[in-house]
Amino acid sequence: MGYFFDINKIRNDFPILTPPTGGVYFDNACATLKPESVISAIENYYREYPACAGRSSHRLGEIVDQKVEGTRKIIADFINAEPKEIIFTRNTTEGINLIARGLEFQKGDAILVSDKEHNSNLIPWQILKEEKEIELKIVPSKEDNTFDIEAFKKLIEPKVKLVSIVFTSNLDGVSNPIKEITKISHQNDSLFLIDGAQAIGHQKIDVRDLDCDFFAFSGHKMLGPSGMGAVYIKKKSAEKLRPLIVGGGTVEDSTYESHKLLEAPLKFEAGLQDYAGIIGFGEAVKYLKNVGFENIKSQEQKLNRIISEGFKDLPQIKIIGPANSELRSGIINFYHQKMASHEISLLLDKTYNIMTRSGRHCVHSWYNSRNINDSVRASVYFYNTESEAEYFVESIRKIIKLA
Amino acid sequence: MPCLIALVVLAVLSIFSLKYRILAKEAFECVFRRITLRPCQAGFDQKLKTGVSSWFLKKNERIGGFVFRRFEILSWIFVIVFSITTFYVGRGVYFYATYGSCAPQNPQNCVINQLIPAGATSSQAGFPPCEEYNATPKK
Repeated sequence: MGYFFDINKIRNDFPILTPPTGGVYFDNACATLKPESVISAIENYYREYPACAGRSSHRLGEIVDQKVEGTRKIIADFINAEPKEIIFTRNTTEGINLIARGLEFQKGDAILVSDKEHNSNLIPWQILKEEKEIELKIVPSKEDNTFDIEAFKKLIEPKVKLVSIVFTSNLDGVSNPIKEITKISHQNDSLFLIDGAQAIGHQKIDVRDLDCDFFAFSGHKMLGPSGMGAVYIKKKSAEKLRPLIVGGGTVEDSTYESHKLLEAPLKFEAGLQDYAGIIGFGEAVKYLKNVGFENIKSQEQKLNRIISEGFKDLPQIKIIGPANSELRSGIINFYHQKMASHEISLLLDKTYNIMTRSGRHCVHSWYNSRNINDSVRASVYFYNTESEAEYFVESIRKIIKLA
Repeated sequence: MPCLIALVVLAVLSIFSLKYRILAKEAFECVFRRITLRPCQAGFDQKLKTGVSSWFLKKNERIGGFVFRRFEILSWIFVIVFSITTFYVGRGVYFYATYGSCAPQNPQNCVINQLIPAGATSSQAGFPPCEEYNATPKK
């Protein structure tokens, strides 16, 4: 499908990138910008059919029903799943919590995560550890911050009931060898959950090929509306999973004493949903498919290379993660030995109109273990340009002269 | 120290706008934390430093750089100048209300005396007459 990669044409699809607004947006790992088609789809819902799905049989209800189920199919096709395996959530965090709260763990069970997990894939397990007395095991990374498969093999054992690993780290952009991890996990009879938040908008995802049990992701990191996400739950795993929230839309029937839950995905989607968000999410997926992952990957790598090479003669700047920029997708996370990261990020914004993020990027555990205070994260996407990357390097050069 | 300056300025501005009220609250929290020997939360001092430096950097990089590097010292200078000025203004207001001149020893040095025509009452200058302070409240 994908069309010829014309950066100017692409940028025209994003209202915020067209003058007189604009600026350099390098905070795509937090939330990407939204194309006109997504914005229009959301607006159309509120203007033309602002009704419920799955409940009302009037004509507006039917339109919403078709649109929502259509989007479920679009997203399912996008990751090679079945529509029934897609559950709409608010974000990746909710998806992971749905799994954490839905699975039955016994005292003495263990869960395995990496040492680079986002708080969303760490705190739910820490709480389970406190509540159910399960063990939480952490796989240490290699010195260059890449996944240590040998350390993982040493830690996995029969009592590990779930392995929950990030696909692409929001810390350094490194993708983990997910297929290999899944294989080892399943050989150990452990379920496998993937935090796919930073991967799905950047590379082709095929959950059948990955053979994972759960795959949680967010729409707002892949051109979709804010506060919209989904989680893939393998059909056979869905039967074992209890819903996180129950109520309207999740039951087939109820009496004063009991109820009968519907099958997945409906049993997991309690109450009225964000239909506008769901429909917008579908449009985002269509847009991404048109751009094509080859184009996305090559543009991200090109920009990361420009920035990483631009930093090479700046010894005060330390990039987190491997030196090879091709391994870090669109993320350049760095810190200065003397200057505070917040100051760098604020100066970039206020003086040079470049938007980045500073802090610990919800991976506090990693920063604490390395005694690193914080960092500035620049995250590029396919609509960013080479001149923006060069301007960013120039701006950093000027800022660090202030130290 | 920049938080203290910000608090005073923002406290005055906050009388007129909600936007500044929120910032003043942030500045107050920052000052309170600094007094209790803790770092400012949410980087308010950094926001202030980069905001001011950025304004100068856009005009002139050398001046901007100087402001950024010497921000703490410049803030201290401002605090000291501000404190001295506040003391003299307060003293002048007190003298004017009490003696009818902000510089009773040398009335010709009092700028208010030069601005207000001779014989005008202090109430015409914006201050209530001294007698009113001792007047019995009206029932």
